[in-house]
Amino acid sequence: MTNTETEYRMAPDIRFRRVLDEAVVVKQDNNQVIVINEVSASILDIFEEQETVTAEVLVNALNEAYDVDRPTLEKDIQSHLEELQTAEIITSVTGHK
Amino acid sequence: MSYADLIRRTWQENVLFSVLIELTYQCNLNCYYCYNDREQQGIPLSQQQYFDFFDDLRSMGVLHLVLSGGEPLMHPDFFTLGARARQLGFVIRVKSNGHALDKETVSRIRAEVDPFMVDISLHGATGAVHDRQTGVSGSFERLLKNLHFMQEQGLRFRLNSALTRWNEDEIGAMFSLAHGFDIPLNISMSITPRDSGDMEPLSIIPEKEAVIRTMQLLKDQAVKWAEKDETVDEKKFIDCESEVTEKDTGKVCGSGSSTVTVDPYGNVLPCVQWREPAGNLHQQSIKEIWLHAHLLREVREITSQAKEKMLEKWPELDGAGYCPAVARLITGNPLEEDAQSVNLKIIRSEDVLEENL
Repeated sequence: MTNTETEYRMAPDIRFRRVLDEAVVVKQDNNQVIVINEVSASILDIFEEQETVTAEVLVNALNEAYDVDRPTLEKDIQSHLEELQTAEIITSVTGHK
Repeated sequence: MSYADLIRRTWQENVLFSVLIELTYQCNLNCYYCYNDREQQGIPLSQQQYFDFFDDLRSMGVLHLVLSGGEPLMHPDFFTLGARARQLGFVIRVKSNGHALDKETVSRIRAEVDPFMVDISLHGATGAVHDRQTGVSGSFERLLKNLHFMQEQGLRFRLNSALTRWNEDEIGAMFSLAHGFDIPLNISMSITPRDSGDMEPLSIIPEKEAVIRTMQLLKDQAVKWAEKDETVDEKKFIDCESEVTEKDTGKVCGSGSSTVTVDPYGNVLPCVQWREPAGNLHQQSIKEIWLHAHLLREVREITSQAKEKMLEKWPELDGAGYCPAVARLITGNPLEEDAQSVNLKIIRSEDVLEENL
């Protein structure tokens, strides 16, 4: 479960790079590699700039890049955050995991 | 798109993705077939120059950094540079002989550098053979002890060997040793001349029968590991790496297309075997060298030409297993196959044709 105030950070074993028009996530501890989609990559770009990130920060940052209304973007970002959290790419730092 | 497909695209579209850095040629062992030219002179890169270089690599999208040597742990700034590389989000590999990896050092590497993997060289299954190749008495016993420290502290490692006339009778025991740590053994079948042009290491090229025996052991190992991984749904990163072959890329390798090597004096080389500088980091940034170096353009062209030539000559091998840089070292021409390479291909070719019967 997530909410707009929950803070997240990238898991310490994650390595992330944009390559060509794709993006790669390496989960070092699990010895896994994932090629991720553009929205997830845009989210991880922000995680690379800031140590901790909330859904609200992401919505504000990505609002201009995606041509959707704010409530739809909020819903999409919450959904992506949940996926990234389930995949153990990000972790909650304020109690929710 | 899969990760393997992405790597292939970096080869095809000349996108720098992996860099091998020879931090120093100093070493605490004295391996018989070591290719480094320890007499080479130059001004070592400073810590700040490495930091700037790492920043450039990150902005270019490079993911993989291999910290090599000599023995990389002999570089006085190894931990500072490793920690910086970690901070910048590189997937780090350390290529080490394992001799300095005592308990405390392993603990520091895990905590400060956090590499994806440490590549360790194994030369034999006994002290007699391993120490003969390393030139240091007691190095085998010490390596075994250090491998246990690495395993205890969860530092992922891989054992790499080169098949030689000296260790060919121990190769089965070397596989068993690796399997005892629950890891496969990687074997290189070719021995290369020294970077100085000295051909002496070629005197320990293994016998044909030993190559055939080792190929069978590699096949057995592949079956065993496939069975072990049957229950794993997701692809392991390390398996994806090994899936990336020359197939469908139009090139025999990623030298100068997706990878470069940097020596301790800032020379940027197309690969670890092609010892001709495309540029030097004391004078130019890696971005400038990558975009404008004439030599890199030439090597990209040669890797394509070599692929065409090998496909024509060895169609059953998909044109795989050819190194233009080694051919250049031995024959003076990157497109002229050397005898060792031809002999290995004959063996592989016979093996493939037999399997297809």
